[in-house]
Amino acid sequence: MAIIRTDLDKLPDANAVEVDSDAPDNMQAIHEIDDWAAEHGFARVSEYWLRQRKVNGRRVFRGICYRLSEDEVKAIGEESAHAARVTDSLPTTIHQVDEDRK
Amino acid sequence: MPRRRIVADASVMLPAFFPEVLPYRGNQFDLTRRAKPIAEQIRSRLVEAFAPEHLRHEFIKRALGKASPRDGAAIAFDQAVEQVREFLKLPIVYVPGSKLVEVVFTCVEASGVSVADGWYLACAMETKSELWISHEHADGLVEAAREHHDKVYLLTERTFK
Repeated sequence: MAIIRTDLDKLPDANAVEVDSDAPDNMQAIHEIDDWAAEHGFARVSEYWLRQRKVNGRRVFRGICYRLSEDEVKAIGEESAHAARVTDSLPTTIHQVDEDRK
Repeated sequence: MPRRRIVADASVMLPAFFPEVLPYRGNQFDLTRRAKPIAEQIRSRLVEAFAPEHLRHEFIKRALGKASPRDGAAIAFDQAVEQVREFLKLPIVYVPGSKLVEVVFTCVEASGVSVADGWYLACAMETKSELWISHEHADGLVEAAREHHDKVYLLTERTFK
C-alpha cells in the first residue's frame, strides 16, 4: 500500500495539499500520510478520521497536509519559548497519581 | 523513513506544563526536565503523537486540581487554565474510544491493568507507538503493559531523545 496521489506535483509552492493513500485501513493510511508529510517538509492536520473517496474504482483515504513554512516554524518556536517561560515561572509540586490509576 | 510515533500519558504531559518532582529512591526526581522535550517534539511536529480521549479529561482534572483550595491551591486558577490551553494546542491525534475499547478490555481482563491505564496502552498498541509513562506504579502497571506491548518507556528510566 502506498501514497497514490498528491497535489504537490501540480502546485509545487502550495502551502497545503491533499494526499491519497490506498492503505487497507484508516490507521495505516494515517501512518503513510504522516510519513509522506515528514519526508516532504509538511505536517498532516491532526484529524483521526480521514475522508474516503473512490478514485478509479479504488477506495482511498485522503488526508490534508500543510507546509512547515518559515512562518509556521517561527510560530512554533515562539510558542515553545512562551511555554517554557510560563512553565518555569510556576511553583514546583509533588507528582500525584490519579486515584483511578493506582 | 517512518516517523517516530508516541503516546504520552497524563503522568508525562502534566509535568511538561507544570513543574513536578517525584519522590523516588530517596530523592526528588525532576519529572519536568524529562517531560518537557516530549511536549516540545510534539509541538515541533518532530514526532507524531496519539492519545486516547481520556488524556484530555485527566489532564484538565489534574491541572485544575493544582489550583483547587482543597489541594492547597499551589497554583493560581488563571495560570492553570493558561497551561491547559497550551496543552490543548498540541497537535495530538485523539483516537476515539470506540476504536480502543475492545483492546482496553482485553488488557484489563488479561493483566489487571486499570481501566484508566488501559486506554493509553490500547492507544499505543493500536497506533503502533511508543508508550511513555512517568514511573512504575505501585500496581505494577509497567510490567503488565510490557506483556502486551514491547515499547513501554519510563521518564525515570530514560531521557526522551
